Amino acid sequence: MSAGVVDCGERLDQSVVAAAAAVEQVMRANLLDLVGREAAVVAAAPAGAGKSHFVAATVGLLRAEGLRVALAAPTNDQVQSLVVRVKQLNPDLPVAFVHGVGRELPAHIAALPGVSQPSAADAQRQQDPLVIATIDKLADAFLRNGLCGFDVLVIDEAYQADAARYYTAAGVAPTHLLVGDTGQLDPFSPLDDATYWRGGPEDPLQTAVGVLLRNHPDTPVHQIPVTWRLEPRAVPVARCFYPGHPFGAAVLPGVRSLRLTRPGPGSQVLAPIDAALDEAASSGWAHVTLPGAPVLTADPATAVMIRELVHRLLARSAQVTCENRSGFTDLNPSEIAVGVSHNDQKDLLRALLDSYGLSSVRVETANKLQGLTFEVVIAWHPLAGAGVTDAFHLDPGRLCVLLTRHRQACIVVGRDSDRALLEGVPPATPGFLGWDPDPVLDGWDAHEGVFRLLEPHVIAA
Amino acid sequence: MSTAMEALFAARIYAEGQALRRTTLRHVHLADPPLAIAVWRLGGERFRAAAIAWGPLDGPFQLAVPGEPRNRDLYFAALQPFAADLCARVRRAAVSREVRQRGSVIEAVPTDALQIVVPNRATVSALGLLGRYLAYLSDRGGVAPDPVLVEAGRHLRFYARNARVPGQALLLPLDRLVADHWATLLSPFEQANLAALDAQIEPEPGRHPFDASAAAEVSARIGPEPTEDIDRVTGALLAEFNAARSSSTDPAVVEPLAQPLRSHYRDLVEPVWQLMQRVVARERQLTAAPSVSRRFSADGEAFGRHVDWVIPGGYYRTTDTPRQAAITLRRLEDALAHYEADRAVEDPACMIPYLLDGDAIRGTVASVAETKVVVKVRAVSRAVIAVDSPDPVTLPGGKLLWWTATAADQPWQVESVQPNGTGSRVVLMLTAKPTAERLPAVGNVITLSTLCTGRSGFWLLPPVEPPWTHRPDVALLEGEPIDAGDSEQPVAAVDGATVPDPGRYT
Repeated sequence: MSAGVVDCGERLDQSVVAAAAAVEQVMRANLLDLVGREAAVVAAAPAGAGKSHFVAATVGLLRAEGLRVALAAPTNDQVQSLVVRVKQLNPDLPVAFVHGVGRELPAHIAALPGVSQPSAADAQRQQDPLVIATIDKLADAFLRNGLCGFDVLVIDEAYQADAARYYTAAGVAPTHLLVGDTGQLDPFSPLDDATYWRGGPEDPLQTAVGVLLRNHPDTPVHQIPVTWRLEPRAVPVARCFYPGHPFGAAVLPGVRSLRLTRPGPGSQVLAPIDAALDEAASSGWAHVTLPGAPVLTADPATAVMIRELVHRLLARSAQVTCENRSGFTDLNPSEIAVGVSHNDQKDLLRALLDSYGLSSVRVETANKLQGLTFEVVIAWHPLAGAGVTDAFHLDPGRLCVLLTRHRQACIVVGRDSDRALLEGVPPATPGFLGWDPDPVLDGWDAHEGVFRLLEPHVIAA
Repeated sequence: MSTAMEALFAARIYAEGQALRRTTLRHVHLADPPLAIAVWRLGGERFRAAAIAWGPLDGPFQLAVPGEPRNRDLYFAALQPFAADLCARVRRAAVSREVRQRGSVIEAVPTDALQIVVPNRATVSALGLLGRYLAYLSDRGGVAPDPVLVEAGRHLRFYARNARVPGQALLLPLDRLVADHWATLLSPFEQANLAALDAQIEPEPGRHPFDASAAAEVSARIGPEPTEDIDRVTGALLAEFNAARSSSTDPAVVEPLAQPLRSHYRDLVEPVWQLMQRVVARERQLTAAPSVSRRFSADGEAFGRHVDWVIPGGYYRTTDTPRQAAITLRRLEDALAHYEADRAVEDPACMIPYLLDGDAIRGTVASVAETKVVVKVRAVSRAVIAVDSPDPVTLPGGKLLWWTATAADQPWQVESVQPNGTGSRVVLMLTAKPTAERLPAVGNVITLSTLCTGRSGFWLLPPVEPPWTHRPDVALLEGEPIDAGDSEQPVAAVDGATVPDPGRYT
């Protein structure tokens, strides 16, 4: 059983759902076979494949087998949502959340029955059977307080975790389950020469999965063939980021819908915004292009356009329906997110949205949006108004995160000169012995593919 | 780096005809005098030094020219004086020590580590390669290399690897020093040319800096990579030298024969040496930032540990273990964060990009008040200040900012931002107990930013034994000695035009 199945069988593509269930069953059987040995299973998933659900259900299964489990993820937000998910699927399971200073669970999560927040030393002394922590905290607790002796270590978002962090945390258990999204942002470093170790077995910035497969190439890797989050209209764009990984949408076409009231009289001045919203509602995508111009990173015109889109979306009484709802319900501001590439863009938008009373609308950089789901996402295109392309803005992981967080519709905001950046020959990129991926060229291809697929949905503003 | 700031600099430099300082302080230690090194390589052989010039920068340089650097005997004989001098200087610098206690660790730290300056980052790489080559020389063939070469190799390798540490000053590439302290019209790629940078800072009268840089780029030869015209001259002299010595490596024979090559390289080094002297003298005029001595003191600790390890015969691995790489990554990232924070907090000019990018605010303190808030279960005292910024502020509520006067201490949290005339009024709450040192006075003009100069939390080193995930299933093969093949005669270069069947290369 996987995420999102709530008496809505007739709204799902049963062949896709069955294929995913079969893969999950094989993975769990595989993992149970390996318990007690120094070995691992890797689950590679596309965006919205129900990883967290799979992780929570697998943790329940492992506990039912009497195994002691450590569950970890790279960020505090991610582990907090794992606590919630584990409790939803396994209400009777005691959960020990081990946290750093000032990183306690929010009150509503801490109040869930069976959730405790022991110190690392207490968790070890009590032999808590299920411990959830960030990878960093788990590593620190292992070194400082000797928290270890688990049967299985489960890591969610394992393609986001780097080999350096995994190094210490790996010691807490012999058998590992690594679950992650291959299309998301790779681990990164602000150092000028972060590629110093690239290609070497010691590279601390390779992913946790990367170092595992490099040293143990026989480790089984299972591809989860489903996306629960994205609907069929969103899948072609998402496939740009997962070459060699076939997957389909679990939900059938037409099941999800975004409904807007008609623009009222006197809204001529908002015609491009209304056109973008109508396009997004009818096709699931809209690509709003402002006139081409080289602009600052935190371009005020782009930010204002995004604020107007959010404001107008709510002003037109947006309603949504999906496989989990019996009819249309109002779109809540907290179900809308704005995705950006830079913190100054985030700060500017936060201030603009707050000034319109839209504080519930989430604004985050791509790396903070990883693992999250919203009904509608407005994405500030990474290349918007850029003068030249560079590795940061071409990163396919960043674009992938921005364009795969939505269940209903995604509106991309950029400038009409952005696509011209990809005309001509891609830049020369350095090669590294022992390291095949090339994020710049992969990003170039992914960006081109996305521009092509969004072409029918362009709205000039 | 702020796009807005760069655009402003470009416009002003274009209009004013001269590069502009980015900083009001010097953020790197400069010894008086540092040891300078300049290197030239052969065009076809990146891993051998065809000439090395060295010496205190306030005087003339010494020059080592092996003649034929691909011949091991000639190469080592020429490098020996350089290696011996470098080792002596390192050892001398490590003699004078002061005791320093950090926690329970007591170290004897050199009071003045040896600083080396080089013209550019390419020379740092060249010295790193030279060091790596010399540090692992074997006694293959029954002939042990001069120990001073091996020791010098280890020193060079340490210096080159330590050059990765942001803000370090043990091995200072002058192109980076200048690019960090001056705004120019040069792209990052063009900034690798020290002569082009220098020409833009002090262009000839009446010449636009852009033209001055372009001319300098064409005429100046910095090394270590030779340009084609240099290589053509070197090639001819080398051929004459090899023909005349008839495979002899006898110093009495080769010394006089190498004279033309020596004067060829002397002519190349002379302008580079003068350029380095000019650059260092100019940057030394600037007052050093307060944190410079602390960073150079940290360099001294690294230098002392290196000397204490290497002189008794300690070895370094050729490559990092996964554990070493993980530790190094974290150490370098910490150093970078602190270096950037130190620069901006100490130097108002370095804070401007943060102000423009919305990561800092500057304004006048309009009010200071105390209030009580409940933290967990206790009511505690907190200070609240209102800062009037003349510019509109777009910071979101909840953002943490550090006052530059207490940047190593506790942050302030943004409570609200309201329009105030053409600017904004920002209300902030201190996240710790208010004390006199932590509070500005009404009327003070203060800057708050996202930069914290405090030390990050104490982190523990990862386990020495790697987990199974970081150990390969199969043991790696033993590598061959690093100097394998040195005794083989160099293969003659192939001239493509004379190859009878060029198609064979396809």
